[in-house]
Amino acid sequence: MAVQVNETDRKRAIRRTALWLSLLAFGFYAGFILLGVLNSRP
Amino acid sequence: MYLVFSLIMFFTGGTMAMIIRAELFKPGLQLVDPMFFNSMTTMHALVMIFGAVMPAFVGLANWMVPLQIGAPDMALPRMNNFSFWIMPFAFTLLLATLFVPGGAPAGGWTMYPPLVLQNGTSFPMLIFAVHMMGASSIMGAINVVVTIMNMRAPGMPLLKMPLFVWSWLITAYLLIAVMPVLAGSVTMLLTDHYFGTTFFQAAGGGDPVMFQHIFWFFGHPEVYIMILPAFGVVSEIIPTFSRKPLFGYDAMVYATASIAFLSFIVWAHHMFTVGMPLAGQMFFMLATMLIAVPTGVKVFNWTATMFRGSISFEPPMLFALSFLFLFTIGGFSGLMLAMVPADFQYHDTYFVVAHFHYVLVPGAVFGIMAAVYYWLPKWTGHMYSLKLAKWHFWLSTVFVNVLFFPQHFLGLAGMPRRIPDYSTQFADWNMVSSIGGFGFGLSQLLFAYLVWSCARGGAKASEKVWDTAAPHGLEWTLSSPPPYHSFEVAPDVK
Repeated sequence: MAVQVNETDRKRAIRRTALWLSLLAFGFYAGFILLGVLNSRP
Repeated sequence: MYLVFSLIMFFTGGTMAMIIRAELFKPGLQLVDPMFFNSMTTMHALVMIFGAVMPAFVGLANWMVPLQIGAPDMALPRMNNFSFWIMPFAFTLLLATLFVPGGAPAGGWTMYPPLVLQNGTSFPMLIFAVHMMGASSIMGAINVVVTIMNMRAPGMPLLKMPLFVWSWLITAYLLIAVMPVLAGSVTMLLTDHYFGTTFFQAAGGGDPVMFQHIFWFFGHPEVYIMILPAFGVVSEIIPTFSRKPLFGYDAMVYATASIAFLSFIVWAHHMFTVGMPLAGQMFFMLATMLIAVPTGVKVFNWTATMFRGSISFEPPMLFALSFLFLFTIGGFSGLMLAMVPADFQYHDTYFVVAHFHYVLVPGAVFGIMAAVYYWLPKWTGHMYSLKLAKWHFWLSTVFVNVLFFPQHFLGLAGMPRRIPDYSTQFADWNMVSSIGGFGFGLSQLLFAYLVWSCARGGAKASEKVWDTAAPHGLEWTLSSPPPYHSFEVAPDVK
């Protein structure tokens, strides 16, 4: 039997998940460059 | 599109492998100059990893995840489009390095400094191409996670998802965590080369070994990114053709998650010979050996699924069985390499080449082939020639062993990897390996023909496709081929 899905809620959740995951990816990118900066000694 | 792109890259990288094996057919330099040989080993790896295996699994996720979770399509179609169309540009740029002054990158796919900084014009092209591939993979992974977390049919909790979906969910998290690390490391290489930083240059206070740590923090989970979706595929196929439910579903999920977690804490086993403290060696050795436990759980569960099953040997099952045996051989040689004292002998020899090719060819590539043979009739609505597919299986399985098994002997005898010429004592097994390579390469033309002919026409496939077996899951409730938007109305999952 078919089930109704609330499209507005779903779209909001999709945007929220995508945003968090993008931030997580950026965090790893920036974090590891920061690690490189902290590791180098002038 | 992902799968077609992947097939083109598979043959491009395969051609490079043929050049490598042709040069190594007998001792002495015969076909190409050593610099070009080094470019071939480097480009073969980059093309096969980022151009063939990864896009193939992303393609499978795009097809199968919405079908298996009861969603109409992926959650973010525009991002999907962007993710795909970056790749032809990235690989055009990468392959264009073959024609620039100084030639293509030749320092190995691992891009270790300071060697990589000696590349000519190809260096910035390589770095930009790697950034683009990384961006593409991250976007693809975000799309997979968002789709699985938000688009599942009502009544499908996480622990009811098909194992292919589970394996991709975990793989996507791995991708989101480690692809930015690769991007970060190559960004630092770029600034070292052009902007006067010294992240990896000892003369300026940097540390070249730091690059190796960062690279392998990406590199080891990358191996599991290429193999976990294949685990998912095999977990779908074996129950179907054994006509039994999968043995230990929950254990399989937890084992996959454990492998993913452990993959983050074993990176330094790739660099035991750099001279790390004993405690470090012990930690990374034991952590690496620990991965054998969840992997063993998976192999045990697949075997237990087949136990007393009513097994039939259609092409997807044949590839899944070959995966099971041959991937396990790759796993065992991995355990040998995990042992520090042994690794000091095996490091940078053909034993390592044999090990990772056993994991990636009869592992990841056979997983992809099994998946294509399993779901191709569902995608196209046509059945392919089972007889030809079985021929493809037997030729591939025989030749893959002829190709890679002798490389264990070569490595144990001390033949180093990435060399265009070798001592005459290695001649016999190299010749055998090259014959296996040509045979394996040529047999793949049969695969391309089968896919092409199945896409063009053939006997009509039913909804369930494998009517005499026991396929399970939502994808088999739809027509073959499925409608453009698979589940316009969410199905009710019991």
